[in-house]
Amino acid sequence: MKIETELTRLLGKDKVFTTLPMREMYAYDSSPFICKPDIVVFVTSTREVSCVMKLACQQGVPVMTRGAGTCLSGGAVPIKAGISLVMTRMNAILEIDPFSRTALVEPGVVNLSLQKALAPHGLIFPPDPASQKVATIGGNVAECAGGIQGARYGVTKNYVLGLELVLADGTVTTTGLLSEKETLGPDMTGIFNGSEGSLAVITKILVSCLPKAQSMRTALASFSSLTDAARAVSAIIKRGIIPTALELMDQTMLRAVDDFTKIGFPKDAKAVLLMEVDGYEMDLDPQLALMREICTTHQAKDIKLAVNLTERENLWKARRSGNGALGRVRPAYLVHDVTVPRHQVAPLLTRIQEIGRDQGIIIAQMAHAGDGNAHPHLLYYPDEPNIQQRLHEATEQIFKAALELGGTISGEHGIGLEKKAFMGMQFSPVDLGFMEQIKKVFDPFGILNPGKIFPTKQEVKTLGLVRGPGGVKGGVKGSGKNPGKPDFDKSDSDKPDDGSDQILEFIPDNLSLKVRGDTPLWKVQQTAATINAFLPLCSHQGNETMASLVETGARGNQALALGSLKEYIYGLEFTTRAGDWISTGGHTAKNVAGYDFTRLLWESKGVFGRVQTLTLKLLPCPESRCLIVETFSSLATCLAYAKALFSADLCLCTLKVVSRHGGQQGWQMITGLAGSASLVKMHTGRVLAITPGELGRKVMDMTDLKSFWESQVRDRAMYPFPLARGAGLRMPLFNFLAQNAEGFDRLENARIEIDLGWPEVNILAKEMQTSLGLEMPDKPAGSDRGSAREVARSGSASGLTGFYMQRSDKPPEKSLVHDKLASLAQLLPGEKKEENKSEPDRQPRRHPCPV
Amino acid sequence: MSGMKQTPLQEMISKCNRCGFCQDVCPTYAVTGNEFDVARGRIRMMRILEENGDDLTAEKAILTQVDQCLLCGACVENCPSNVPTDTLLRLCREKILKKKGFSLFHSLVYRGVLTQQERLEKISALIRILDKAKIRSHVATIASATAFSFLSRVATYLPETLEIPVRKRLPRGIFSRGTSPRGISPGGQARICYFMGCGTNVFTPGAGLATLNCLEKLGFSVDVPQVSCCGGPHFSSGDIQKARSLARQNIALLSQPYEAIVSDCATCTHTLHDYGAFFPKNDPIQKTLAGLKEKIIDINTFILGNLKKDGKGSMVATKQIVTYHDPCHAVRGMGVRSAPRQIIEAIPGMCLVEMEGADSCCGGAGSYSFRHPEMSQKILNQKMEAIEKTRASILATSCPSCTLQLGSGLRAKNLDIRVVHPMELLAGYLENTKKNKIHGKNQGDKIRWTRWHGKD
Repeated sequence: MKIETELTRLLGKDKVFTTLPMREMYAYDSSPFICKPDIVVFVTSTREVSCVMKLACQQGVPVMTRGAGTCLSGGAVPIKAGISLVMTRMNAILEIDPFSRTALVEPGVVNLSLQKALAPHGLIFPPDPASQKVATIGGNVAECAGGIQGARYGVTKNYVLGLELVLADGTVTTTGLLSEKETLGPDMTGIFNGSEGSLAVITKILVSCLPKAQSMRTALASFSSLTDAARAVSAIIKRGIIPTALELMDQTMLRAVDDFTKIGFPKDAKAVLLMEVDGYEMDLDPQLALMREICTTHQAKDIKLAVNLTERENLWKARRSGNGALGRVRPAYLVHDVTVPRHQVAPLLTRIQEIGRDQGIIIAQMAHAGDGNAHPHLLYYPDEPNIQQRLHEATEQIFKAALELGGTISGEHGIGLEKKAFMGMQFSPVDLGFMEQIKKVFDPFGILNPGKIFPTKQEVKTLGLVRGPGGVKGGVKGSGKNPGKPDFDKSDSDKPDDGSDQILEFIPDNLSLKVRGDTPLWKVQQTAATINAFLPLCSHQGNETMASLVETGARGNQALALGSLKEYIYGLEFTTRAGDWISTGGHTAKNVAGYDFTRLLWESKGVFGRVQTLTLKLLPCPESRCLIVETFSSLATCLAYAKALFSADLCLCTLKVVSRHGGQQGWQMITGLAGSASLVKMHTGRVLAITPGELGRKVMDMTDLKSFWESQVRDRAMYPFPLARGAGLRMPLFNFLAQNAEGFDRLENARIEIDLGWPEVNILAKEMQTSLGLEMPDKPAGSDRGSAREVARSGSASGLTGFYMQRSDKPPEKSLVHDKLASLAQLLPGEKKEENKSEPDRQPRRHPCPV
Repeated sequence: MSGMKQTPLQEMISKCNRCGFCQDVCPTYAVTGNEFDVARGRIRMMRILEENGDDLTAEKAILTQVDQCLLCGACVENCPSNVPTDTLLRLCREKILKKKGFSLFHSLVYRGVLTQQERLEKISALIRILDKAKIRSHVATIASATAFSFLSRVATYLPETLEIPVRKRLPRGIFSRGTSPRGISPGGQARICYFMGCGTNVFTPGAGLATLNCLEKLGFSVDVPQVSCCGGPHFSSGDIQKARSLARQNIALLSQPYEAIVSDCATCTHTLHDYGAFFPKNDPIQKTLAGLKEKIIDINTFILGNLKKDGKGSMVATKQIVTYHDPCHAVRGMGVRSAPRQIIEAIPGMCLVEMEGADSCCGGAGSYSFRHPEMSQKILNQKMEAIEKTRASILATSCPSCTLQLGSGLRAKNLDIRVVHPMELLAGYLENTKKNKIHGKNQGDKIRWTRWHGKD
């Protein structure tokens, strides 16, 4: 039977279209590419998506998932025709949980609609691409969208907690916190972020949100040279200020915008920096003063502060109307999104100017300078002589310039059709081969968004110079085989390594650090401390190597505010068992070129290979920290106060509850605050006013912190047997704990660690215990929903998100995605023969960051 | 600079870089989520038509697509590249009409009824007779089975009781006929022309009378010429020929030394203001139009400019919640946003509560609601939800077409909300208050009661 007839039968007449006008309507996105699909299919539910995929898989018909169609790289153009699967009707916001700060949405929800729905709860969804008024969350995830606030808040992948997916054969599966099966194992969500719809169809998304900042300041600095402006950017970063936005516009852009908005930019300014900081009111003016000082030392001529909301809006309007206003200079433009480490912004922008001059093309520059993301707009008349040729050459030169500066060809627009030919410039054939393996595992028949990301043999362009281990050194690689760097696994036994070459690249202006995988954590912290920065893991001495921390999925005791280590990996390189050296990411804050392996290796426990190098994002140290440790007699009281603390607007970075010897000797609530000195002082007062410290209270400042956490580590070592572990969302966790509070209170000879911030629960004991006295699921996870799950689930309105607790002696069941990835691990050369050997380093390691 | 060999139409089309920002504001896209129903898609279709020659009749779907645009102008206002989608679609409709000829609906309604106000008045009388005999719904049911099925929709669309048209209720002799309006304004007051559109006259006579009342109470003498249809419906449906002939008739009538020409119908006001677009740029009539254009003022803006508010508004215990719907032709056509709101807020006892998306189209768009009832209904439903959320008891708007559409929506939902023109609210207040808090500006603090000239 013909597929459209079958689809019409299954979905109904109003969802399947094959008429020529409809096909024309779905032949384009916001890029210059155009190609008609054969069938346009609207879906309204996961079940329908699954039906479509099953049929398409049977008949080998290509399927391209499409949201609002605002992709700038041709990702939503069905270049191989087939089915265009339109998700815009799956636009329900299923659940907003203000306490957990999460939202569960369908992929067709428009970014701005979600922002509007979150606003009454005082929350924001940080990714804010320029197209946020129309772009869908599904598209944001598929392209790993960035935005203007990216400098401070990161990109979409930092906010995706879980996904529901329909795989190429129509099977429905879940990942991350939406999955019961894998909350306690590796997080498989990451690989789908920025996969451009080539691995699966996303049907539900669980995102995390942030509280809206109390206050903000916006200022505009004008410079008499582009280089000065760009240098000011890296100086600001170096001084430890992370602005919400740091937007740079050059003179061409300024003139066009000013012509349109009549804002009155200084006429002779060669560049302006639009700066915004947000946070607590009391912190902003000092930050702004510092930025003003930095700009002045970089020859800023004029610094204007937006004194009210209207002025702020005008400044932003000027920035956002950039694209449209350029129509006044030339009717057509081509925009790129090359990204470099922040200290390289100045050379990149200068180089792009030169390229424009060489090719005789006007290039208007605007950049999210705060994360090194440049947006050169190549302006032209469509009928200029040999314009396509010149555009192509300029593009190639710009990409080359960005790669030479240690950057990436795409920071947020995606590869799609536009940049796939240039993938070979950034990645070695081996890197690309590994990506294609992943694609094959998830989509064996190549029906999901085919013809994107990967260049064909005829298309591929390569560059003499490629990235190798240790950064861009030029011409190192080619074969993709381990190029001379000793594999630290083996070299350990061969000769003693003094670790002097463990720190590979340290860029203070970019707050990034590249280290070898065998670098111990303390060394990373020591290096970072030289510029008053840190990696948000434990602050005490850690001997664990960075590679093991990644492979076991470590997070620090400030995960509440700062997340886990995976948010701090800019790039990594790893070797497969066959010795292939695969690299992903770099020193850039944004990178959407190819699949994101940084997340694939996360908690992978060495299945795919060993982490060889890591490029880490460092954070400036907060001026002040404070820890308040209070003791309570019962878990229930403890939780009540914890809830009150969450609801108060505090600069919390830690909120943990720990009991020694079970709950019988009382519960310790550890509340951590971090921020500027005055803020921490004020908020400490507030915390003390909220909680009474029933059985005792201790307030510790920065000097006591280290010894306190060390005592926690020592204490933990006395309880070697993990009995149970739980993870999930905060609201369901509170419900679960409330239901079981008495049971927890009665637990004996155990150490119970509850991280309310992350959130996570660990029960450790001195010896194996068979009974916990808690309402735990009595069957292995996944096979049935045990009673604890039912209890925990009651906290969630939709019943789709919850908190899952599980005994450690029952192995977690693997999800479908795990199966796929396990098969990937087997596909890798050299992997098969070692499959059944038990290797010590493949055993799950003890959690390296206990508290 | 290179030589552009594009037609003006192609040049306008090529400005669209398919950013898709129109999805945010397009009312039809909000309903269907379909690229077929958004400016970007419509422009893409026009580009294909331009590039592949003019074979417009090939696909019926294209006709629907071109016709299904409300011409609300929201996309034009929000387009970063300033693509004039509304103009493009009008030009496209013009082409289609030339090629395919008039539809039954067009010849009957646009060419037949709408060209002369008398015909519309006769229909109104007929409906009133049907209503008296309580058989409007029966006739509608019969009509629904015939080629005139749109009549059944018209029947439910109109108010439950149709009032007698304004013109029939004014004193005899008030209308100036031909090109020389009668009537001399007493006391040398400002001479204002009130352009009474077909919709106001027949479907919302209350608004028309209220407008005249307000103008009168503010001390203006008003001329009410017997105008033809403004030509707006013809212009937007692509019937440029008829639109021009109607415009010429009206221009002749309006070319008097008026100080201002006002209308309580947003569509009429915008159309009059926009007459320049009806004619080629080199047409000699453009000169006349340039002078005329600046006299054409939105009624709310005009009244507001002539109101003087006392320092303190009197506190009234029971406040009525009023919400305001922006007619497309007022808010985007004329840029009228704050004037009606200021008037409502100036009236003691009225509390203005904004609805979500007050400036998005209600789906009325003239005869759109008969031609595309399904789409129109869905757009209206969204509007109704927004109105309901405000808990308003009064819904104000400044256009007869919107009034009818919103009224039918409120009836269908059984909502106890009155749809009125801001002028009706103001007239009601002026009527009820002896010592007004609102005065005419031109008389200082004194209030002179002047009737419009015809009744002297």
